[in-house]
Amino acid sequence: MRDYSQLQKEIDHCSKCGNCLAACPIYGELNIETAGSRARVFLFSQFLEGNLEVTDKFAEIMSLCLLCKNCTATCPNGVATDKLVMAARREVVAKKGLPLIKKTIFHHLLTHNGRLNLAARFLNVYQRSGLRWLARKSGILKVLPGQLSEKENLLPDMQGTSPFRKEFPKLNPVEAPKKKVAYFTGCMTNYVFQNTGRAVLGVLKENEVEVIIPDQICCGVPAEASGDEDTFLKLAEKNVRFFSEYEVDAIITDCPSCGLALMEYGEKLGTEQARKFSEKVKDITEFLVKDIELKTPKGSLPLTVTYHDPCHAIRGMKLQKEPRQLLKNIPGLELREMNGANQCCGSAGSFNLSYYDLSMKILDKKLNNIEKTEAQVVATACPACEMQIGHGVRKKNLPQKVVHPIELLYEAYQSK
Amino acid sequence: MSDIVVQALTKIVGKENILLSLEERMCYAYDGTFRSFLPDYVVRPACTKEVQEILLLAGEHGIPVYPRGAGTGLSGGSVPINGGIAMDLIRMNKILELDKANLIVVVEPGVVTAELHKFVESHGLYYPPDPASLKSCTIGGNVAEGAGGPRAIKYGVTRDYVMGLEVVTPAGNVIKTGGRTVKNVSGYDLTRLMVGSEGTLGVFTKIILKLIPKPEAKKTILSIYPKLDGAADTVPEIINRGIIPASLEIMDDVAINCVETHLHLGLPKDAEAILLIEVDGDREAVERQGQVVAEICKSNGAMEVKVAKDDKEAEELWVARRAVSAAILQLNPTKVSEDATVPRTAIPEMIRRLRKISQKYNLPLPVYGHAGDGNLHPNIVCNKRDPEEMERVEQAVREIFEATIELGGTLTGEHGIGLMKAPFVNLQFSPEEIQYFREIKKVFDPQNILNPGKIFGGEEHEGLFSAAKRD
Repeated sequence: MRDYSQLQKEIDHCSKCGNCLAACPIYGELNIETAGSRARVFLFSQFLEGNLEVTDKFAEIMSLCLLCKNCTATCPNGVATDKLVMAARREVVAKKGLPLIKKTIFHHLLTHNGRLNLAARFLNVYQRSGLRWLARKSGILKVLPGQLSEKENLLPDMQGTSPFRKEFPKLNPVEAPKKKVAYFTGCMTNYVFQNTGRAVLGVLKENEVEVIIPDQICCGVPAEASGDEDTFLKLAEKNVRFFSEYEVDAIITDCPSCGLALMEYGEKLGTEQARKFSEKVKDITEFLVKDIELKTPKGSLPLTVTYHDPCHAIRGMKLQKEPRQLLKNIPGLELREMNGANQCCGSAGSFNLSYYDLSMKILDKKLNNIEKTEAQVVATACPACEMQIGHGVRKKNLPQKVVHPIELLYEAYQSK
Repeated sequence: MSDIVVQALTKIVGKENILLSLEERMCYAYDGTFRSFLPDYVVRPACTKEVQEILLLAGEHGIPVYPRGAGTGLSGGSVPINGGIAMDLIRMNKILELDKANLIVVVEPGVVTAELHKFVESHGLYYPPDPASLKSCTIGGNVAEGAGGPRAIKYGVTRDYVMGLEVVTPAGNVIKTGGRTVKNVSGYDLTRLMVGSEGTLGVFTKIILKLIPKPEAKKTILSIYPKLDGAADTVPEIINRGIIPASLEIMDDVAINCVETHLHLGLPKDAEAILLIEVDGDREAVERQGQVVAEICKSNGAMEVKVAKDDKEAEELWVARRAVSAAILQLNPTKVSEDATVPRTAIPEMIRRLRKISQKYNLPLPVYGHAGDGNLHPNIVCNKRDPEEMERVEQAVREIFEATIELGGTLTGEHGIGLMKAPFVNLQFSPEEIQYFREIKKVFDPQNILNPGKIFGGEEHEGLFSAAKRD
């Protein structure tokens, strides 16, 4: 067995007080001890003690975690349950291997941009050619097993016909740059939410920041969260190599799940190069608010906006004020806080595919809180949350538009 | 595990609500203490009838039954030390009725305490008992263990709010105790007997609770003392001035240091004590009382007195106190949490004796708790993997209890005897008194199937602390 002495400390700090129960969205829905965070801590400790083996039940219990870090934030001792869960998932993969679908995606798609581009093109054709219209209309989706018809709706219309990174050159210079950044676009911005990427570039250009978009590959989070550490490390190593070719002030991301992963490359790869890389990683909202003098848009954007805190932003990268500050910088925009803004929306990577109904119940709470604000727009600085909340908004026919806050800022700059 | 029992239990609660895998049963082996014991079956009934059928079945087969709520207890009160059935009652979580005119709420046992607070407060009413685990723990567990909380000094404890119960006895009878009237002297007070019976006399399936109007306002004051005596003198002075605070909490230097190291709140590490005082009531009265309290704190040598301006600031002042219970785990992984309670005037002497015990056995012993009602939480922080150390812990615990009794106190103010204090009951009770307990238990549970092995000391409790290594 690998060295778990660091994780043993996390376990030792769990007093089983049960504070985490109230913090766990899954426990909140399932109302059963096995779904609570301390159960996962206890089971992993029993595994380490040799009292428990990796079984299907063990795997199931460990899979029922959003990695939302809310238990850690609530735990008086800050026990990092998510780390234990990921370690447990690694053990599951070590013993039982990956499920075929995940293996295919991690080993053949995430690790090869070309193949991912191709897959995206197919999807794009499906969405635009009338094939989707036909599929939805004909009812053929309904015969698909496991709620695939509803899940198909999770993926919104792609905002471009080609990947974002093909749309723009590697180097995007400005006259007399104030700073120089490298942009890690993430897969979601690259393939689905191209508008976010366009806004990032537009806003940075407006603020006289030079942007490099280096060659890059998936950040590895989907693999890591599923226990496939090998793939994660391979991808991490590649990204570090790609980005180290450039001398920049910061490496920016628009997705806090990517961002958090990038920030942890240093520790996980353990190389000097990776550590240097990780130190430079910043969320776009943080970079704009803290590292430069952000220009106030001349035009105004008279919108009421409510902000949803992505788990990996608020509890991972510790960003709470930054995105709000960015929004408040927009003239005419009214920021209206919702209840439970920092609670998980239930997306959690592929959790919403594996446990669709449960994910939707967690999302319902979020949607109710959004509705109560009567805001016109939901802003959230995470493409995965944007996808999940967008799905809920479409399903419930709510009036809200769901966007990344950077898009609002970009819009304000343009309306001068 | 017996097939016949599994079949019968499945018939009662349905396949969904019986858990048999090792992994799932392990999740029901623990509570908030450091010991754990694996149940053979976990069942999750949804109604009185299912509870009744489970108990009848258990009686028929002589299987022990361990009822539990959220499993946040601090005395081992719900852990299944003899295996058998862990009966999880959190599916029974409905608020059945709110009777505003009579100030009564009727709930099922699995209702989470904080949810009840939220519900009654949205109707302008108040259910004062506020155990620290209120966001997770259940009313059923609160009633079974006789839970308290910071507000006890002014408002009393769970016992003071239970008006009546529906109870399934171990023999499978459904009985009702108490009722809905403030005055009620019909027959023996079985309600009071049931509250704090720690799941040994019956399983509560309906609970009638008394409510009060919600106080209009509150004021929170945090006072930091360079010397323990200053804090100790503050407490009686506040009360002698005619003010009964809604809560009056204390933390000693070891506890302060743990919290500060963990949370960096800017608490002075050389302080010997912190008092957290809250007054509530009418808005004007609260303002005036807040000022008086702050003055008393200062005149008793406080180096810093913070008065919260609003609810948000009040919450900030509570952060340290709320964090302490777990923050002390930084010292060592295992926490032996006691709730020895003495008359409030004996608190300074109790704290001095605790320090001596800490030195004698060379064990870190942070102290915090409810200074207003004399309910202290001395916590020995140790390592359960070290049997030698755990033996010292057991001796230290014994000395803590001896000191408590000498000072006119009780072994437990709000956690219950459960399992962890069972070896020490004879320090507080004579053999005759314990015999009365046993006789009462026998009347309700002649077969001894409901939560056996708790409260009364016995051979099974030998080495309770040092054996923790195996868990």
